[in-house]
Amino acid sequence: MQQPRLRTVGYQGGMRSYLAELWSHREFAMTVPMGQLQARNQDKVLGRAWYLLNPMILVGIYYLIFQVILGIEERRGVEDYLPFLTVGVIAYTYTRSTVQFGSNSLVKSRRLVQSLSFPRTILPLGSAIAQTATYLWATGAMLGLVLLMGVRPGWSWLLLAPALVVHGMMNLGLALFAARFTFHFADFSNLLPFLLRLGLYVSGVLIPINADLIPNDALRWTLQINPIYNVLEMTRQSVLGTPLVARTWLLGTAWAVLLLAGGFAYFRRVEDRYSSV
Amino acid sequence: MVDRLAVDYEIYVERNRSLRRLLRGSNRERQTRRIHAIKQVSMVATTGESVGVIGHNGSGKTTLLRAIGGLVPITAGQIKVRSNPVLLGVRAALISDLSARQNIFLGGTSLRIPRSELDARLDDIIEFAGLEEFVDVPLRAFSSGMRARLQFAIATAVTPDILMIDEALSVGDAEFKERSDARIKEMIADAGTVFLVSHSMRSVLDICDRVLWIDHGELVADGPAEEVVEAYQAHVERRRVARRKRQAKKAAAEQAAAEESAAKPAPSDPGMSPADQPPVPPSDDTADPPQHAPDEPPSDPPPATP
Repeated sequence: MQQPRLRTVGYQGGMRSYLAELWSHREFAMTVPMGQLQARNQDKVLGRAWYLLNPMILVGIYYLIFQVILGIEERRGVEDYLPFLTVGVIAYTYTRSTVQFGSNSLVKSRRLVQSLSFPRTILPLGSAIAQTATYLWATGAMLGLVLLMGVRPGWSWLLLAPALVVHGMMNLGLALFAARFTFHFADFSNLLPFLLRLGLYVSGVLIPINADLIPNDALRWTLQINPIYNVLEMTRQSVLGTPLVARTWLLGTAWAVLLLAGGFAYFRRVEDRYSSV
Repeated sequence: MVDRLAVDYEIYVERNRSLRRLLRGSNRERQTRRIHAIKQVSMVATTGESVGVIGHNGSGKTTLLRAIGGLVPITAGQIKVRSNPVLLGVRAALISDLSARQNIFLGGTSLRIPRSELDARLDDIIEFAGLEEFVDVPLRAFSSGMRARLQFAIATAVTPDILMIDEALSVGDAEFKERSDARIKEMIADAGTVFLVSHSMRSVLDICDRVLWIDHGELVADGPAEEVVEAYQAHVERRRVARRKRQAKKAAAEQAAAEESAAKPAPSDPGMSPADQPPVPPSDDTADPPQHAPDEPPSDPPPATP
C-alpha cells in the first residue's frame, strides 16, 4: 500500500502556504460578501441605492452647515467647496464602511467560523470586497455629480485607478486591525463609531487642511501625515484636476503598504483562536 | 493520525471579555478555569475505515472531531491528515437569511468546489436533499431536519476524503437516513474515511466497523464496533443500576417523599457545543439508553433488574 502524504492540521506554515490557502478559497472569498450584501438589503425598498443615497444626504447636510450657514468659501478662501466636499465624503464613506463591516465580520459570520475551517482573513477581506464593489458604483455617481458641479473631465481621472488601489489596500489593513480588536474586546464596536467620526474631522473631509484654516505649523503638519487624509487628497487631485502633489501620493502609498502588511500580520497571529468567536 | 492530542479550554467565568474587565483585570489575575476537554488521545484511521465515536455528553467527542477539523486550537500533540476533513455538525454552517441555492454556493465554495461545478450539480444536490420546492426559500423557514439534509448534500456533493459527522443526521427522517447511509457506505468503499459521533448505537453499528469510546476526554476503548459498543452499554447499564440502587435507598429512607424525588428525570441533551460543555459530574449519566430509544425515564420505579 502506498504511503499517503500527511500534513498537519491548521496553518502553522509560513506566509507562502497561507497565501496559497487563501488563493484556493478565492471563490469562497467572493461568495461571502455578495451573499451578505444581498441578505442585508433584501428587506429594504431602496435596497442597494442606500449606499449612494447615504453619502449624498451627508453632503447635503455638511454643505448646509459649512457653506450656507458658515460661508466657508467667502471667509477662508476655499474654492469650489461643493465638489471638494462631495469627493471627500464619498471617499471617506468607503473607508468608514469597510472598517465598520470588517470589524463585525467575525462576529456576524460566527456560524461559518465555528463550523468551517478556512483562512479567517477571508471575512474582513470579504467586507472589503463588498465595500469596494459599492464604492465603484459610488465613484461613478461621484464623477457624474462633479460634472454637474462644473468640474471638467481630464486625464487626471485616469489616476483614479491607482488611487483606488491604494485606498482599498489601506482600508483592508484598517479592517483587519479592527476585526481583531473587536474579537478581543467586544466593546470596541461601541467605540469604533466615535473613532470613525474623529477620523472624519481630522482627515480633511469637511474642511481643507491648509495654512488659512490651521495656522499652527506643527499641528497642520501632523494632520497632513494622517494616512486617510493623503488617500482622500489623492482621490481629489485625480477627480478635481487640482495640482498633483508628489508627497501626497508617496505618503499615501507608503501608508497603504504599511497598514496592509501590519494589519495582515496582526490579524493572522491568533488565526487559530478565531473559531471560539 | 492523532498523536497524543490534548485540548484545553480556558473558560472565562464571566463570559464576555470587556474593556472594563480588562482595565480592572490588568493588576489582578483574570478569572479563568481550565477544562481539559481531551487528554492524551492517540489514534490512527486509514482509508476505507469508518470510525464511530461514543461516550456520554461532554465526554469530548465533539471536541475531538473539531480538533481534527482544525476548528479548535490544540494544546499539545499533533494531528496529521491526508486531506482537509469536512465536518458536519448540528449547528448548520449556513446563513439563515439566504436561500437554499445561495447557501449551496456558500457552503460549496467553502469546500473549494468551483462555482462552475456547483452550477452543474445544483439540481443533484437539491434533489438529494429532497428540497426541490424550497430552492429559493430563505433558510430560516427550514426545519432542523431540512437544514441537516441540505448540509449533508452540500458536504458530500464532491466526495470528501475525510467526512466527520457529529450527530447531524439524527434529525433527518427515516427515508433520508437510508439515502445518507447509502452515500456514506459508497464513500467508505471509495477509500474515504468517516467519523461518526452518535448516541444511537444502532447507527454506529450500522455504519462503523471500529468504535472509539471516550470518557472525560480519555480514550477508554478503541476496537471492533460490536465489542466496544457492548462494553459501553454494559458500563451505562452498571451506572444505571448503581443509580437505581441509590435511588431505592433514598426512597426507602424517605418513603413519603418518594414520588417527589422520582420526578427528577436526568435531562437528555444531545446537541452539545464545546463552548457550553459543562464538566459532567460522574453521577449524571445522560447518554441515551442504547437500542430502546424512547425509553421510560430512568427514574421510574425500577423493574426487576439482576
